[in-house]
Amino acid sequence: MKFANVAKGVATGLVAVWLVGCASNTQTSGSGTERTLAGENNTQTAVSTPVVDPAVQAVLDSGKVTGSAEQVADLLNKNTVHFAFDSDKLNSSDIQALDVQAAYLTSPVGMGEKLVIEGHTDERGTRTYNLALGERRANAVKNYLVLKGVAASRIEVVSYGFEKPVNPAHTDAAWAENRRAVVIKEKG
Amino acid sequence: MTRIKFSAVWSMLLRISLVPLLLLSLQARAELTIEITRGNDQAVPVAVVPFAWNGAGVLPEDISGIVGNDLRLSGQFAPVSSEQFLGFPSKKEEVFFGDWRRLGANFLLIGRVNEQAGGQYVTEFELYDVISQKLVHSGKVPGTRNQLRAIAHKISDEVYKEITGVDGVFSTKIVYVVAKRFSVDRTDYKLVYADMDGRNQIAILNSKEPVLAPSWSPDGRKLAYVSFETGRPAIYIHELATGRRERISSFKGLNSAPKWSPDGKKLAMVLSKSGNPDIYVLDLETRQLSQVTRHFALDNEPDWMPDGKSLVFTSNRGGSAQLYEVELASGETKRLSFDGKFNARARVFPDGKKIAYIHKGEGATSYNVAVQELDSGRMRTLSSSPFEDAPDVSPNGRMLIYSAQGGDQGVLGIISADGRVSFRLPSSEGDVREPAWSPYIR
Repeated sequence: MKFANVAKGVATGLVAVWLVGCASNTQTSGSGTERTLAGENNTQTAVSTPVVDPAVQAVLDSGKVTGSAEQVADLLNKNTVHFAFDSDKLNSSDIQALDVQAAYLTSPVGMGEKLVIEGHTDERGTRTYNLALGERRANAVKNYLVLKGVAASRIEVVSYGFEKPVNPAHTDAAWAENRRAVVIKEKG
Repeated sequence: MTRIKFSAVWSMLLRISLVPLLLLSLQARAELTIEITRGNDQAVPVAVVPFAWNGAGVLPEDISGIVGNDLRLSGQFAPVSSEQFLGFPSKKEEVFFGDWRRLGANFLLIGRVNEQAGGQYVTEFELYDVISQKLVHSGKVPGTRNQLRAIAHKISDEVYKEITGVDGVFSTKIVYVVAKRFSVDRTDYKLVYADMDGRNQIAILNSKEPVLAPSWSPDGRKLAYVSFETGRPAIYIHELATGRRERISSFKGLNSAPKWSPDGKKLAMVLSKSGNPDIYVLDLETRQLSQVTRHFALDNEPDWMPDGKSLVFTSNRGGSAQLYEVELASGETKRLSFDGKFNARARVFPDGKKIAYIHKGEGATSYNVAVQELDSGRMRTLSSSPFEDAPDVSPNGRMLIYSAQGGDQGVLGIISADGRVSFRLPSSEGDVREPAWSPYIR
């Protein structure tokens, strides 16, 4: 183990020396190359900024949800839904955000993305019971998105039970924060 | 009588001490300290006299201190404070029974440790009945310096067995998880192996992802547990002596709550690969998986009856989490718990007559360890901190270990199965949870 690390270190050092050698060679070989590189850099600094996030525009274009660009942007950023104690029922207040997520995920822009949905619980009950409850919560979100046209094969569910509380306090407010499902998008 | 008996004890010691000796260099600081939370006024008073030392320097281990602590921890004994002692006999000729009777001691333990050539130590002890003034048990145990602590636990086992008629558990081990939380995204997890009194801790697994639900193989050589080290829950089998591990179940969804069958050939577990958590049994030899429950409710947390023919498990099929028993051959299922809205994570006692589990009473807010007699259905809660979890039964059925959350950090509790005595094993190093008590290690 130790030897392997030392060997790796030596190898890295050698590569570095070789690279330095190459760099000094190019420097002496001519200045024309440098001018070209500088020119390329200049064109890259001019970047246009779209007024509307393409993801938001895709949701608006889908016609599946109504609302302003600001509202859609807010809902698209809302990746966490919350649950009542010992429940895996979605709150009506979270449905709008999930509708926006689904509209994005089924749009040409969001089509290629895969999802991981994490399920979490509060600390009440046993750890192993909560592991199963957290999965139910994540599945509730998954099932809703599937109902709205997102392919089930794009969604993976993982429950952490109460292993990863947002708020480790032992209060009603902390528990409400911790009972959640989180939608994480991964570029396909 | 005792010579023959102790040669057997010695060979046992040799075997059990192999693992701790090999891993001694990895040993963590002892961070668990014992606090008495509730005492027992019916405990048997016993005087444990500091052992005499014939050797260089000081006695390397406080043998009498360890024995006294063990006996107190059992809840069935009350060691007499040594401050009251009128003398410190280490041989029969030095014992004046009247003195000990006046202190109220029913039994008297004396002994001595002799250092020999070649790093060997010979520990001798005698147990006297103070009332009848008779020798009831004695022994002579050789060992190295590193084995003195294990020898002290063995003496505790002998004393306990002689007086109660039941095997002691002072040479058994526990495993548990210590979690140190830095933020929502960063917690360090350690699976720790220790003596049942919390000493000689060895971190056998370090992970940045959750570890939970350890279960001992019945021979005490392996553990099965859930680890999220790949980012997803999977069940691993971990061989203690070698540290060798095998990922045994990593289906899509839950791979949770493994529990070894009494014959060591199967593993009960919870899988949700069909979309919903159900109980399965994996045959460890043939690797054949069989599904035990098929229900749209959440079926969870299996444990075996001692005959291996049925499983106790948690299910919310009746609208709240309750305990059920399923017979493996017929699939016949009956409900075991009826009191309250949450009864979960049952552990069956070694005689199969009782179960320990986590209970929340009707209208109550706390989750507590409860014990239920299966014949009568009679249940009583034993403890009272707000969020208890993971009860496990000692191999002699006399004590339970569990975790308690709700304070600044989780601690382990040990409680006598009758609820009369309890101890806390707090840790200075993080949140302690998910304890599992080893079988007798022979």
